[in-house]
Formats: sequence, structure tokens, C-alpha cells
Amino acid sequence: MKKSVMLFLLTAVLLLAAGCGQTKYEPAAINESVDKCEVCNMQIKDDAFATQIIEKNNKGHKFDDLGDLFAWKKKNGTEQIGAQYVRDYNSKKWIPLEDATFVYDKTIRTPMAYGVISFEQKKDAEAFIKKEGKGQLMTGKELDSHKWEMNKDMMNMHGADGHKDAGHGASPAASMTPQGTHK
Amino acid sequence: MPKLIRASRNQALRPWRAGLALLLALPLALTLSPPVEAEAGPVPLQPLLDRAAAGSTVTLPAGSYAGPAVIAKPLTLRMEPGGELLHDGEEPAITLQADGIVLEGLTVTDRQTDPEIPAVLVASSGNKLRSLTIHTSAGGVYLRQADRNELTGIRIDGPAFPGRGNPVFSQRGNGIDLFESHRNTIAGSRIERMHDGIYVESSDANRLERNEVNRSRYGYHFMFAEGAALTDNTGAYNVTGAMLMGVQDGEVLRNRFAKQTENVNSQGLLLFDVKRTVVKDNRVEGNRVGFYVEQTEETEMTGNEVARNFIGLQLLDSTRNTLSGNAFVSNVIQAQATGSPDNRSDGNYWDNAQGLDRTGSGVSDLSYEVNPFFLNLTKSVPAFQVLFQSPGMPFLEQLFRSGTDEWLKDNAPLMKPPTAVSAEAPGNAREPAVFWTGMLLLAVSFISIYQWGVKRP
Amino acid sequence: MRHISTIALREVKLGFRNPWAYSFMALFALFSLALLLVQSQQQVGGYTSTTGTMINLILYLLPLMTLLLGSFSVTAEKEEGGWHLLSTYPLGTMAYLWGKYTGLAAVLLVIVSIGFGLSGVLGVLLGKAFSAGTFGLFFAFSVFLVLLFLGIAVLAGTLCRNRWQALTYGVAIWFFYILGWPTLLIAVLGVLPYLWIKPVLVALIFLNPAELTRLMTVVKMGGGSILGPDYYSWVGWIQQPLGTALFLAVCLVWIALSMGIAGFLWERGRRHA
Repeated sequence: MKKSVMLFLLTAVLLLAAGCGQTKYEPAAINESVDKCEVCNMQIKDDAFATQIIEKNNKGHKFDDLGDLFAWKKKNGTEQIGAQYVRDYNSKKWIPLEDATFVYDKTIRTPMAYGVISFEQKKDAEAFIKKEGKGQLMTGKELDSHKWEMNKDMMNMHGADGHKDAGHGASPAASMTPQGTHK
Repeated sequence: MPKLIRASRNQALRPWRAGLALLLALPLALTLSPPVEAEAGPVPLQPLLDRAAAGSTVTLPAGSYAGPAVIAKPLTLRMEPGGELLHDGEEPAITLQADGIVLEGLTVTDRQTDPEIPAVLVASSGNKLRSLTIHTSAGGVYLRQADRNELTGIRIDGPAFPGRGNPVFSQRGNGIDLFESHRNTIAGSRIERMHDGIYVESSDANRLERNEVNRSRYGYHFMFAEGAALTDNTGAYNVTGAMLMGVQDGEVLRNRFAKQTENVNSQGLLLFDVKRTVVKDNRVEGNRVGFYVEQTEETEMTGNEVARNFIGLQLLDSTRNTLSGNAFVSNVIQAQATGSPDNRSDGNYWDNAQGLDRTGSGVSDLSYEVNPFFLNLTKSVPAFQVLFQSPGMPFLEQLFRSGTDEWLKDNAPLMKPPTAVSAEAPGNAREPAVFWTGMLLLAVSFISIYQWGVKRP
Repeated sequence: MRHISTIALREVKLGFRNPWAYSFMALFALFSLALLLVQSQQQVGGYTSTTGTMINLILYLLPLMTLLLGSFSVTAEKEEGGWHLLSTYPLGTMAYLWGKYTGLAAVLLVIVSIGFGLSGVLGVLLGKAFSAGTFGLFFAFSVFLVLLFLGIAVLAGTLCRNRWQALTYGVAIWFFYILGWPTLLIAVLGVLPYLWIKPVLVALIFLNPAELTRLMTVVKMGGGSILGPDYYSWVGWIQQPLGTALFLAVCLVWIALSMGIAGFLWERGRRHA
């Protein structure tokens, strides 16, 4: 009994020493074998759509789609949030949500079909919009007033046109995945 | 034996006679469609299809063929046993662009590895794909804006998993993948070691029947699918047997999901954001979690058998569902529920319930309650999951019995399982090793006791 | 060594003439048999409610049994003057304590063996048997529990003056490790910063032989994934042979430590006396 208490105290002191001086909130790596989205329960892929929140007590929450991060904030509030991270669409580098530039279009495929992707540099976002010929540029602030909607039925937009496009068959792979890499 | 003799005689033929035979055979072979010449490498498939008229049947005899091929007119493409379509390129091995195509008996070996690209791409409607065999580490059969197709007897195999540990699924493609494709039927197919066995996104009224998916990430995965029908399918050793997300007015009937335990997030059947769906007569057995149900409404879960899972049912933030006539048998923890008031949860069988039936109605007078304490605890601090089934937990749970009105409760638990519950676990009771070990233990014990406890020196 | 075996043999003889040993034997055999028969399956294997309940039954019974039989035997020596007699011989304290440990372990393992022997044989005869793997795992689980708690029992017996005190200590230790453990842990860890909870929790598991043995058994039974993402690498590690080796090492440290402290205290008492 005494020994247990002693050991416990010793461990606690050691951990205290180790835990001191930590004030920055570092983004955690994604482990595909273990991590699942806290909101939708799907496995989180180590891809550009992964996002995370770190609470002030260092408790981390990972999401497979930026939309789910906002769903979490809606449910749990924002007071306890220490940091929010998104990833650059091209390099997959973790960047603070506030510093990122976002592109939204209904037809961009993201894991939960919210259609918002993130870029570290504004010019990369603009280049994406230019290349794809669609998309709306947004800042981190604007996301708060964004109406987060899952695009559940893309059929309505593609309509008969989409069908025909696929029929031309010049590049079947391109018609399979309009944007992004979602599965 | 006679064949061998003839072969050796052929070898003895003089060269000029062999040459003549070849010359004679050549025009004959050309009339057959297509020619088979194993020595010259795989025969390109596209020219054969280009030559065929719309509505005709192209039969491929045994031999190797090379992709890619695009079918842009309605025809029947049939491959005889022993045939194989080889493909290695950035496009699908076969692309269907015209409506009303029939593919039958094809074996496709696709060497490309991009999970976004399938071996067979269906971009048209009303096609029939029968008895296809696909070996690939990329995608199997993908349907894009393709309606009313019938896929039967499709066999898709991913490559073997290397080594130990949890397999990495994200580098594999899906077995059968539907996007914006409606009213298709997928039946009697078998998929192994892929990403998702059958993935259905933004696609309505598709029917999945009598399929089997093993050792993949999610066996059957629906996202944003109305009127999805999942009936008589099975799944084992997947991360999750079936996952329904954003499904409305679906039906999940008579499926069986077993042994999904390897992954820390494994479950038999997961429902998330599901509405007005019937989940009936399914059997989830030996999974980490049998049924995981979250944000689900007006869904009817009846007649299911939930047996020998670590956790039988997890119910979170779900209301106005019906949960009755189910059998919960021998799960380590039968059920956990939180944030789920207003569900009708009477009339299930819980094999650990304290039953008391004074009237002989077959229904117990004592209600069965599901304590949310442990689920809430581990939701706020997941590390406490290590106390799962710790012997002191029941003691602690008894201390937290406030607000039981909000609990999931069965006010009329059944005294007996509702249907013929197959409570028997596989395996038999004849374990000679156990019997003889037991005998040995007893013998040693009794001799010891006699030697040192009874016998006086 | 000869001293140890002499003391051990004496302990075995005392143990088998102790009515307590037989009542515990009956209790253990009865309950393990009842649990086996009450469940509906033909074969008991894997991590299910049947095996889960059996693990808990063993955890309720065996540590308490070991603590009481062990500490009683040690205090009895003091109360009945056995130790005074023995200490007139040239006998080392550690040899004496290890002798008692070995003898008591033999008696307790016979109790466990009879329980398992009966369940094994009758289970097969009545068509409700353990699978071979589960049977072996449960037996090993019980043996480790007995050996670990016996060390604690000898230490508790050393600290106590008489049987009544030993009873109090034994029950208190049992309550602390078995029944009260989750409550204490959740209460204490709840006040720690979030990031500390898991490492402290894991460290504390090593301080509770019952939890350590239980988790080892659950993981070896294939139930490791229930512990969730937080313990993913931990579980993967335990499943390897190296995990078993570490577990054995921790057990040895536990037994050596509790016996070492008991020996130190005993020696001190002997010098003072």
C-alpha cells in the first residue's frame, strides 16, 4: 500500500516535470489504423481533407472533413479551443485554420461532401479556381458564416450533361473524379 | 498418356511439314473471331470490338488479351474459361459507354495501382455484368452516373496483405463503387481485401443482395443514399461490416456480420444519420461492437440477433426509433446508450436480465436498464476504456443512478429469445485436450492432498 | 535451499489440514462450475459475456482467498509461537519466508487445480466445455493472480500482529485493488490535466496486479480492440511474445519486491525482539 502511494507520487512528479513548459498546441499526426472522425465515425485518411482541433487542455479531436470540424464546434462551442488545424491541399502540410485560404464549391468532392478545401497560400487557391473554372475563395473568418451543407445529391447539378460528358470517354478517369480524391 | 505420345510424335515431324501445317491453320484461325496466338503476347481487345457490329456477340476463346478497351455500342462480350484480359495503364481496362452492354465471364488482371481508377468503368445504363473475376490493387467495378445496371457473380480480389499488424486499406480501391448511379442491382458477388467492398455514394434505390465481403475496410458503405436495400449479405473480418451514413428509407434485412474485431474502431453494423430505415432479422456476431447507432431517427430495429460481441449495442443521440424483438445474447456488455430518449425499446430478449414473470405472459415484470455511466465516462476521457469490464465497475455504476428517466430501458423484456436464436457458438464441446488436462489437474491435486493432508507419517 | 523445502513441506502439511483451505476450495469449485453450466453455449471461447464474467468471478474470489490464507498463515506463526520455535534453529529469515511462500503457493494451486479440473472434466462430459486455448489462458490467469497476491499476502501477514488484523488488512487490500480501483482511479485522475491521465493510468495498471493480469488475459483472448485507439500500440505490443516476457518480468519484480520488503521488516522485528 505504502509502496503504491510512493510510486504513484513519484510518477506524478516525473510527469509534472516532463509536462512543464508546454504551451503551444502541436498538430498530431494522422494514424489511419486508429483515427476516426469524432463526428461521423469514419476512418480518417492521411490526406489533405483531415482537420483537427486541440482543446486548451491538450485534448485532441480529429475530423475527416472541415465540415465535421465545424459540426463539432456547433455542438461543443468554441471556448475551450486552443488551436485548429487544416492541411494544404497540395502539400498536406498542417496550417492553422486562421491562416489558411479556402475554396468552396458544391461539386468539390470531400469525404463528407461539404466541398471546402484549404490552401496555405492564397495564390495556390486562386490557381485552383482558375484551373477548375469554379470555386469561391474564402478566408478562415468567412467560414464561420458559411452555411455548412453536405452536397447529398450531385446528380441535380450534373444532370443529363454530366452523363453525356462521361459518354465522350476522352478521359474517363477525369469524369470519375471531378475533383479531389475522395473515397 | 496417349496425349503425351502424340505430342512426342509431333516433335518428330520434319520442319517443312510443321511450316505447312501452320500456313494451313492461319486463314482458318482468322475466320474465328478472334485469333489466338499465345506466342505473340496478349491480343489487343479494342480492334476486336471495333470490328464487331452493334448488337452482336463477341466471344473470346481461352488466351490472353490486352486492355484498355472502350465499348461504345451495345454488344455482348463473352470470355470463355481460360481467357484473361491483362491491363496496365492509367485508364480502366474496360470502359462501358453505351447502354445495354452485356459482359460475361471475363477475367481481368489489372496491374495499375491508382485506387481512383477501376478495372471496369461503367458510364452507361442498363448493362449486365455477369461472372466477372477481377484481380487488382486499384478499383474493381466503378459505376459513374450509370443507372439500372445488373451486376451478378462479380468476384474481386485485392492482393494479399503483407506481414502482420493492421492492414493499410487506403492504397486499395473499392470493390464496386457507385457514384450518382441509381436503381442498380448488385447480387451474388464476392469481394476480398479491398478498401470498401461495395461503396455507394449519392446514389439512390440500389439493391445489394447475397454478396459477401471479407477482410476489407468497410464491407458495405452507403453515403447519402435514399432507398438503399441491403439484404442477405455477409461480411467478416472487415473493419466494419456495413456502414450506413445519410441513408433514408432504406432496408437492411437478413444480413450477417461476424468477427469484426481486429480494428479499434470495428463494428458489425454502423448507422449514422439514418432515417426511416428498417433493420430487421440481421445477425451480428463476435464483433467489437454489434450495432453502433448514432443520430438515427424513426428507424425500426427488430428481430435482430446480437450475439457474443464485446459490446452488443451502442446508441448515441438517437430518438424515435423502435428497438424490439431483438435478442441480445452473451455480449460482454449488452448495450450502452446515451442522449437517446424517446425510443421504443420494449420487448427484447436480454440473456443476462433478471427475469420475473408472475403472470406467465412470457414477458418479465422487471425492466431492463442500460446504464450510460461508462459510455459517458469514456466519451469524455477515452483512456478510461481500459477499465472496460473491470470487476469494480459495477460497484461504481451502482453509485451513479441518478436521472434514470433518460436511460434506455426495456420495460417488457422477453423471458425467452423471440425467434429461433442460434445461440450455439461454432465449435464443439468435445475437447479431449481439456478433458485430459482436467483429469491430470484433479489427479495431481488429490494425490497431493492425500500425500500431505491425509496420510499420517 | 534445504531450509526452504523443509519449511515449504511443513506449510503444505499445515495448509491441507486447514479447514479454511477446504472451504475456499469448495467455494471456488462450486462457482466456476456453476458459471460454466449456467451459460448456454456449447463451447466457451473468445471474449464473451461468459468468459468476461468468469474473469471477474476469478478476480473476486482468488485474490481474497490468497490474501486471507497467506496472511493468516504468517500471523498464525506469530500467535501460536511457531516462529519462536523455528527461530531457535539456524534459519535465515528469507529462507523461512520463501519456504512459506512456496508451501502456500502449492496449497493454493491445488485449490485452483481442483476448480479447473472439475470444470474441465465435467464441462466436456456435460457438453459445455471450454475451448483448449481459453482453458489454458484461464488457468494461467489464475496461477498468476495467486502468485502475485501471495507475495502481498506474506507482506500483509508480516505487518500484522494477529489474525484479526490480518483479516482487516486482507479485505482492505482486496477492496482497494478489486472493487474500489475504478472509483479511486476516476476520482484521482479526474483532477489531473488531460494529457497526464493516460500515462498515469498506464503506470497505475502496473501497480495493480489484478488489473495487470486481467488486461493481459483480455488481450491474449483477442479482446484488445475493446480498449480503443488510446491503447492501440500497447495492445499490439502485448500480443507479441515480447509482451508476454515483459509481463513475466513485471510479475517477478512484484513478487520479489513484496517478499523483499516482507523480509526486511521481518528481519528488523527479529533483531528488535
